[in-house]
Amino acid sequence: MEEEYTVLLANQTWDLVPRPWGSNIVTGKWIWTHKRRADGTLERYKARWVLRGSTQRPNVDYDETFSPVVKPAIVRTVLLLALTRGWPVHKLDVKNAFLQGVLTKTVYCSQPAEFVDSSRPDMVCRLNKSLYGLKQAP
Amino acid sequence: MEAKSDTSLFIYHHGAEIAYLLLYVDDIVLTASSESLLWWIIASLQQEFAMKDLGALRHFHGVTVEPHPTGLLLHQRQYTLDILERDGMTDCKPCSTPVDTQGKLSEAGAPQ
Repeated sequence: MEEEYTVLLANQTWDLVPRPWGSNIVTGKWIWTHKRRADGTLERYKARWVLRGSTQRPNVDYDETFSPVVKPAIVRTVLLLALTRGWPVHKLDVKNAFLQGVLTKTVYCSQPAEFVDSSRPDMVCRLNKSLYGLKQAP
Repeated sequence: MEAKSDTSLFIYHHGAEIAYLLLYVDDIVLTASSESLLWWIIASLQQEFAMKDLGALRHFHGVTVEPHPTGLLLHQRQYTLDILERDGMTDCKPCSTPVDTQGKLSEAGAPQ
């Protein structure tokens, strides 16, 4: 949880601002998952701060939604091309992909539970980057 | 750097050098016509965002990619086992299900 929070801060995911009048504050919660090794033993717990996208309002907090889905046929075609030409094929993994996107709409959310800034508890987060659960999440 | 043709396929073309990049949310499959081009693209991407090179492709999107003497074997054995495990069905008795094994592909349309 500390780690996730540190990454969120390092990415400048949000700015703390006074609660704006009349605007929607998206709520969130911590989600816990168990990360297991290949043999099934527990490696560590993973915490993720997710927003309740269903508390976002259309046109105000988001415009269009879009899912980038790769077609299985495209995957096979690319693999086939690489195979017949003897090209190297690598798998790459983007870390914290959801935090890489830049938001175009202004979205406010509550401060993560248990990490509320004690000196500014009434402030809310104005998001700079997308977060898990948001309609704008890839 | 990448030209768009499919929403998740990016193509890099420079002289005789070609590279294809498939993007699925945070998973990337990258292939290039030369090792040097591959490394150059990986290095360029790593300058933009934190990214891990997992080496040769083994799994993508639930599909296992296994090198085979005559090509590549794509299967979902692990994916299937994971589902059985999740639902506590690993000890269940297998049962054969009649299915058409002689299906022919036609130009008009491939069965999905």
